[in-house]
Amino acid sequence: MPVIRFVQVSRFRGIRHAVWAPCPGINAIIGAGDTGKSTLLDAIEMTLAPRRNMSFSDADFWSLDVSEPIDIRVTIGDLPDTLLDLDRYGSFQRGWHSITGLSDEPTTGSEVVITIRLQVDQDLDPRWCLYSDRADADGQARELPSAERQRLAPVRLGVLAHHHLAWGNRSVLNKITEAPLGAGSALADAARQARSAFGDAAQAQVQDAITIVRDVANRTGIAAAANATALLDAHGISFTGGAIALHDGDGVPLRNLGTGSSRLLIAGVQAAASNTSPFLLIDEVEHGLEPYRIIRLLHTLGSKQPASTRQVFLTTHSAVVIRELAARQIWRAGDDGTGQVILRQAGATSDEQATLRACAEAFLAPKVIVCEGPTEIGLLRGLDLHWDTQGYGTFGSYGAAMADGGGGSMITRSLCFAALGYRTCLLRDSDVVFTPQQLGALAQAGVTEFFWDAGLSTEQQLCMSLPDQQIEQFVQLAVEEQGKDKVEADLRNRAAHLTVDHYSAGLGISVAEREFLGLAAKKGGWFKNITLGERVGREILAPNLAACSPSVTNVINALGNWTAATH
Amino acid sequence: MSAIIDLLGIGRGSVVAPAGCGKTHSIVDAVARSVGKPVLVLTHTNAGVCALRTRLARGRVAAARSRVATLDGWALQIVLAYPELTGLRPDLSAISYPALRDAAIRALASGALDVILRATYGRVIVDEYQDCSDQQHRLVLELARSLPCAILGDPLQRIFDFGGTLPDWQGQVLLDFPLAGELDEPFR
Repeated sequence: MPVIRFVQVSRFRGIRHAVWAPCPGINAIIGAGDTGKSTLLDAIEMTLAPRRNMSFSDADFWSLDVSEPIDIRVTIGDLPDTLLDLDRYGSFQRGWHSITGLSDEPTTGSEVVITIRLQVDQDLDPRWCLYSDRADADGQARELPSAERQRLAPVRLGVLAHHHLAWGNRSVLNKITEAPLGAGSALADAARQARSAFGDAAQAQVQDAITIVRDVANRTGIAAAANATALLDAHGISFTGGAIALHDGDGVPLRNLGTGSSRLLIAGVQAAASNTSPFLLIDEVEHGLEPYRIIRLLHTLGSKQPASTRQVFLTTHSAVVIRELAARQIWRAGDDGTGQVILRQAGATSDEQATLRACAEAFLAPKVIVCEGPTEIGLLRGLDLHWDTQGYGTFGSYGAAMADGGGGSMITRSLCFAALGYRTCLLRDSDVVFTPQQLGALAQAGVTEFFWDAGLSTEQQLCMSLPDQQIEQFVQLAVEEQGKDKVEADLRNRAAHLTVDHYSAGLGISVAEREFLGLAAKKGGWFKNITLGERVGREILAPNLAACSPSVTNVINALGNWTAATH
Repeated sequence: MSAIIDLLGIGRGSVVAPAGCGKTHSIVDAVARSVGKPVLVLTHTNAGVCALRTRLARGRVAAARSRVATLDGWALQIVLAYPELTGLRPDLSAISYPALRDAAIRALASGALDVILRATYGRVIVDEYQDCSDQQHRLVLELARSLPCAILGDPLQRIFDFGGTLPDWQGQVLLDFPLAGELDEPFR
């Protein structure tokens, strides 16, 4: 079955330039809004469309600049023998190699491919042709014959998919129906029967008009109209395939199905039929589906088949989809700021797979703050919640998502985000010492690091930096969440004489007591989940950030500045 | 000997046939009975191509069943379609046939076109093989790597020799294309 090996897009809508070598099977594109995900699907669909009645406007040109043409090239491999024909397509056959890429002629060890080009000039008239550099240089332009275009035509599963539930032009059902539905078939008979069954039932309602027509006909001598009657117009009821639609057992049309159900059904039909399109394009694959049905849909599309034959291109904003797919099935689209869209494939290493599963949500944001663990995530979320109520910008509003570094995995996870082009930083404890190699790798990947004073965990740093009043609040919060017995037991483990009552702002809190408290909180795991970390952040740290020591305020302010900046 | 030989039964071989003994008839018969991809029929002269096409049409063989060309015409097509692979951009106003043939041999020998050849043609039949030059013989040998190939000729009829040395029939042609049959009964 044909496979799209290479896509080149120039000056089409939001994409000034993009090149992409998708894989066989599923290609899921993720990326922030307006990075050209849907435009890529449109580019493929328009270039391979069998019907060429689409119209273009100035708005389809990048930056509305019509001075240079829109140029989309789709290169297809695993060709049917008809397209490998030397006599017909020799000067259009090119070579594709997974490592060296595209060559203008077949070469030893490369696959034979052909390129279809869609060009739109400022006259807005789209032109499709087979393309090779040498044929272009010779001024040869040839269109792919209609039968071949039909065979390569992609099926699009848009947000609204109801048209696929009838036998219309663009419907999946029409594609998998062997014989063409047309005149002479049962459809035409049905139209004739309707006409005769209806008979002259309209006669009574239009009698006045008929009387006048007959009268005039008699007076003007138009014999044919002298006995005019009102019947159903034969043209008015010439049915097309679109008039045949799926209905349920009770005769209710299936287009009344919910959006999700109809998409699931259609994707299943498309996957099950062998004679349908080799390419399936799906916008927002999760649209209208609950997580368990999203997973079903992805299975139907072949997510778990190692070498799925049918190529699927989909866009998604769903963490469920990211968790369900293999890393190599996921591509991140990112704009470099000049309209060049870069697609990066998530690698196939176990690190990247694990990161995708663990931090799926973070892959859907443009910026990622990798946090060492749940305490830090909670803390930042708490800050966000407070800032939001104060009307300030938040990490979230600047497009940053928090990802759980999973303690020891935080470096590999940071590197994984950075490799996929995310603006990435790492917020970590300082109680673990990294090797120079690890730090070098982070620096080289452009990951910014934020960390506390040497040797301190987040809990310890807070206990060293919060004002006395907030230390008291901190202990009360721990008691509330963990129970007084546990908190006191953890304190006694640090120093036998310590009790909760020692942590009172009125009495003053010594540095030693702060150190003991920090250790007790860390070892006792008082705030080692997101909810508890969030309470500390929201109730204690955020409202009093300015009153903390610089070790905390500086890090939080720097993190805020990093988030607000774009590069 | 029979007046017709089943060329479709030949994977790689030669048929020796004097003029008028049913050579063309055997080719038309093979093309007509072939199924699947078209048969590439190669000969030497445009007159030969014309004669073959006429006979095929008279035999009511569908045009899609065959692609008929001269050896040099076919080589030129390869060179025009894949200039980089052949390493030659011929000046169409003054074609050097030896250079053209060498270029086509180079392209075929690279193996890059094997898939394309197998997808395009079902088999190759070369007529008037006694007129093949050494270069053309090597070109056909390259084709025979990818496709079943039957050659027909009459070594006694060798006439022109301006395209280069002719390969030795006994010592070379029959070694590369083992004798699969002889037509010696006058057909006309």
